[in-house]
Amino acid sequence: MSDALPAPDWAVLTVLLPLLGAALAFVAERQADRIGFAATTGVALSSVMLLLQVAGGAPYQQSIGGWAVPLGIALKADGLAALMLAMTGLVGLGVAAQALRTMASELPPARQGTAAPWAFWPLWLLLLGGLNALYLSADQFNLYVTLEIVSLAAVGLTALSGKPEAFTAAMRYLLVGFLASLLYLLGVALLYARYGVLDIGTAQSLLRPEPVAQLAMTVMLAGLALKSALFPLHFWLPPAHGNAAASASALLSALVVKASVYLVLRLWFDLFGPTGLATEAAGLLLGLLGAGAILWGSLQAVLAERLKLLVAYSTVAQVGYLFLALPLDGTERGLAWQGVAMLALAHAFAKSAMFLCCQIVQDRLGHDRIRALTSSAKLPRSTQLTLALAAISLIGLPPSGGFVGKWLLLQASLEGGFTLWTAVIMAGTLLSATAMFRVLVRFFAAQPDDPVEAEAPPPGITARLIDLVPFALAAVAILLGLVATWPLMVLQVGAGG
Amino acid sequence: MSAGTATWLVLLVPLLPLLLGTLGAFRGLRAWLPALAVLAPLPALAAALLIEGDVGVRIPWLLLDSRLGLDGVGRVFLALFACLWFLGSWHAFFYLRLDPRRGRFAALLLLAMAGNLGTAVAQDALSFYAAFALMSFASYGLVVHDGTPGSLRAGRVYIVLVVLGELALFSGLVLAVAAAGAPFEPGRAAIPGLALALLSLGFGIKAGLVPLHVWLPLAHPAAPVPASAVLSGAMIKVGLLGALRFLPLPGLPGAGEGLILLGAASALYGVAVGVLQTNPKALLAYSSISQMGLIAIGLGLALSAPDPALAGSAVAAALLFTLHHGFAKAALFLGTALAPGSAAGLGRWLRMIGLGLPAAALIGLPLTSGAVAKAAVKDLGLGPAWLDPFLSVSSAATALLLVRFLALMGGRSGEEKPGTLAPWLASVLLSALAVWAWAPAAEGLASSLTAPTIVDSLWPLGVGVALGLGLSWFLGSSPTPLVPAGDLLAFGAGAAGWRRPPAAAPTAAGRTPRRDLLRTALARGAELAALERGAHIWAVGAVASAALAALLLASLLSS
Amino acid sequence: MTAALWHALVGAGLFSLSLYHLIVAQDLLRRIIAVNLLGTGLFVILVALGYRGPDAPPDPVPHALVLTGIVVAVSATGLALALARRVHASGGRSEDV
Repeated sequence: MSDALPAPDWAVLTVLLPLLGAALAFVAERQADRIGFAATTGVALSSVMLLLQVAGGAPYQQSIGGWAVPLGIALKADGLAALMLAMTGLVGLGVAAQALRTMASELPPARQGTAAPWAFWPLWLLLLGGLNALYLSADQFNLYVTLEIVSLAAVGLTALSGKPEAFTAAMRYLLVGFLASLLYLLGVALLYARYGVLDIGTAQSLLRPEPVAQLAMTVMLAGLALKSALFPLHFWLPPAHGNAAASASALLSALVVKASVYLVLRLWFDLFGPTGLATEAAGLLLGLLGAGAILWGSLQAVLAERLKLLVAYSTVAQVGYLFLALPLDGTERGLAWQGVAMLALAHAFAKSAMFLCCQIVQDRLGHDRIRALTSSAKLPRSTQLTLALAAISLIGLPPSGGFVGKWLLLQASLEGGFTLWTAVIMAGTLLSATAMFRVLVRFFAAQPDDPVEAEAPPPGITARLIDLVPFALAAVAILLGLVATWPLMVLQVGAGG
Repeated sequence: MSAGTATWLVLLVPLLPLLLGTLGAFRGLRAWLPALAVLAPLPALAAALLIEGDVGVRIPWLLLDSRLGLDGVGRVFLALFACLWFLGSWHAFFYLRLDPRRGRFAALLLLAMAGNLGTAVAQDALSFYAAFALMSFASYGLVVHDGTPGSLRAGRVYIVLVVLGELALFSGLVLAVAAAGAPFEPGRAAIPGLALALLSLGFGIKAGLVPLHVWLPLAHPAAPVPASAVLSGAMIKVGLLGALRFLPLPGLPGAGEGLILLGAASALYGVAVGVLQTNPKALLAYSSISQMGLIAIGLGLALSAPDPALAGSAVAAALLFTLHHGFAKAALFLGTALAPGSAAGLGRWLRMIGLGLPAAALIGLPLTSGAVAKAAVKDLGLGPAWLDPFLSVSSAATALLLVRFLALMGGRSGEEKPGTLAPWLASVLLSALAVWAWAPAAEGLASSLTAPTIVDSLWPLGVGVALGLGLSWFLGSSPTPLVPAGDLLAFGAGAAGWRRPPAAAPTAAGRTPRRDLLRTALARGAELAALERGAHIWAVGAVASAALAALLLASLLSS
Repeated sequence: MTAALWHALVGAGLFSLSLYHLIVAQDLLRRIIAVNLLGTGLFVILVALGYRGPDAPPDPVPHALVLTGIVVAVSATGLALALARRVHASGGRSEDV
């Protein structure tokens, strides 16, 4: 036998590696950071390999243990899933690299009753494993389990900063998340009771618009809306994201929120849309809530007094944009769906970069009050630049991924003649520009005679590289727009039906 | 030049300044940027002068399938932009030599340059918008470079107008693209009325058309001298470039006539407020508003022309005017760094003549680019009957404004930055000669030299000079202008209680209304924020969830 | 009324009651218990859904789901209790949650 070494199953690795790593890091707490970073690197690599594989034109599909659906469990990755996996891997890698350096300084020294810095790693790996499994799952119950893993790990990350506000925020987050998951599970149970299947692909041919299915869809979407912090159910998000440690906030805002929105899109376009369950009125309702999120979230961002809260409210607004795909595209993937996917990807990179910058601002200035940001000489140029780049994408200025996403979304809204959505998108852009420029303008306000403080060179080449991480993340958000045709091409893989 | 080389050259036009600008992110390299900025516009200059015929290159992976290229219209703009950026960065190298922030200034200058040059070679809506936005936002850094309260205020006004303009442009372009269907080729398709309105708003703000001009007299003088020169000479022209690219020519008679009226209003308004200024740079900014008004008239003629051939001539006239004004205004702005009052003898004469040459061109004296440009507009024979006399009146008004400018400059004393004289002299030479390199301009020279045309161009001068001298004498050397720069904005702010109290004597009466307004706004904001953090958040959330579920169910059952 | 329907109704009742309690209760511990009961109500419904008539064996899939669900619920409850202790220890009030 002269068989070549079989190529590893990259998709399975993206789930197995973090889960193994989480267990190891939990046991060997002294080595937690090394284990954690190594596992994250492995996952990032695997997810990029998977993306390249899928970009080749064929969606990934695998039955675990050789058991075929409906008995076994299938893993699937089409273009969107592969992009989300790669996004998770890369953003995670960036945040983890930064956490290597900051976790020790960011958290209070381990005392009685507070978490030790190493606890970040098992929690993060658990989150990573959960997210990846979620993107790969094609089975409604598996999706519930992965949602729960993600929620629990996210709650742990929220509480990690040890601040009293963080504990209450985590508690609220946990209760809301638990409730939302149970609502989703109720929907799954109802569907199973009526049709006897859990696999989404199989269910696609069975579901009919009848009361049971409609009730199931209602509770599932309501639960997911709660988890995605869709306005006006967003009340748990700003305190949680605004009070967590910066690395945790970056992960929560960039990745965790995306998971439940992804699920909404997946269910809407793969299950409810093709079966005729999704109606125009339902799409309109969710779209209106999205519009509310855009306006309210951006307005709160404009009014925010702390940088971190501004960034958190910007997430509320960004989630709103993602829901606009439902009314704009109806039940079939179209321009708006592409635009929304682009916005989700760009937001993940830009937002994680911004949260990491918040940490640097906090460290250097001792506060993050926007009004007092004038003494920018203390802030490294790279941080100011990173904030500017991230803001470009979040506002939707060219040539960023956020810009291309908004362009497609606007195009979809104008082709359909929906001037309401156009007005909302433009108003949201105006508000978010106001919010972001409120911060950026302060970097130019330093007096000319301010001593430009010499930046203490960080020790060693690794540390220097790590300091560039937020910049690299923001740069990816811009790059996504520059080479937009590639991700848009990948999105089409397996999106036909 | 081979097609391959031409393609690379076109790509290099925006790419080189962009790459050099991004080097500003590295601390160690920032010191080199002021020198490198002088080299950055050279590919653009080479492309504009050496490439023959039209070139186009498609980059399918960039943005959403980008197209760059060079065509007749683009070449004129590119030549102007490249020359002005070269002069501007040369001047900036010496002007800011001792400035500790010159590295940052150069980086932003390069980015704005990349955007500005990019607009000239962009051949699709997305790339054009991307370049436009890069130029506008990078220029913010140029406007507030000094960091003084005045320039920061100018910057605030500037950024608000830029964001509004970008939004209008963004939605206007998407609307036009959606109507035309992708890929969108500029200027080829009829566009919906709303798109037209939005595009006009976006380009009108950039071109400083009254009443969208309020940012311009604040921002252009606030920037350091070389930045003012490129802002007023080059970047302001992108408003016209965009209109030429995206509006269907001819075919919009109504819009064209409206634009002619607006342009005429701008031309007179700019002079009326401009002569009351005491800062020569503010005066020049108002002169730009006035001159852009004349260019807008040219565009209006093209839009309302009865047939494409006439529209083409109108566009050519507008382009000629653009070249002429760009070079002349840059030379005048670079001249504001001079101090003729401190120079003696020959030096003083040299400076005043050097300032007088581009001023004469703007007024439209015979043998200057201005005379040819104005003759080109008059020769079209288009537009309303009042246009011809109006152009003469506007020449008189320009003469009045520039005599006042020369009077202000003549009394200016102080120290000149070493090394800035050479780039200024170069700009004066270019303003006198460069236009003739463009064939239509050289052809127009002969027709502008007939006896009636000359007489026509001389009487406004006499009137203008007399008025200008009288006014200068009347206004004396009062340090504060009769009308503050930013006119409408200052009046509006004063009426709303927002007027900034004079720094010297903050009177209680001047402050209270502003504070009250702020306080109310802040209180409103605080109320909204409190609503968000309300104690009954669970109850609100529960009701909202229940309502959402009920509505969802209802929406599913309804159909 | 079959036993399965009875179970389903009990489950639905539990679900609604605890949802109401989760919203109105001020005390943190009560909320945690409420959300826990909410899960239990759901599990009862799920168990009832597995009923396939008096002669056929019950459908194993819902039961497997319930088992998994219970594991998840237990971990979540444990985490919630631990967090609640931290909230109180760090001076936070139940009403703030």
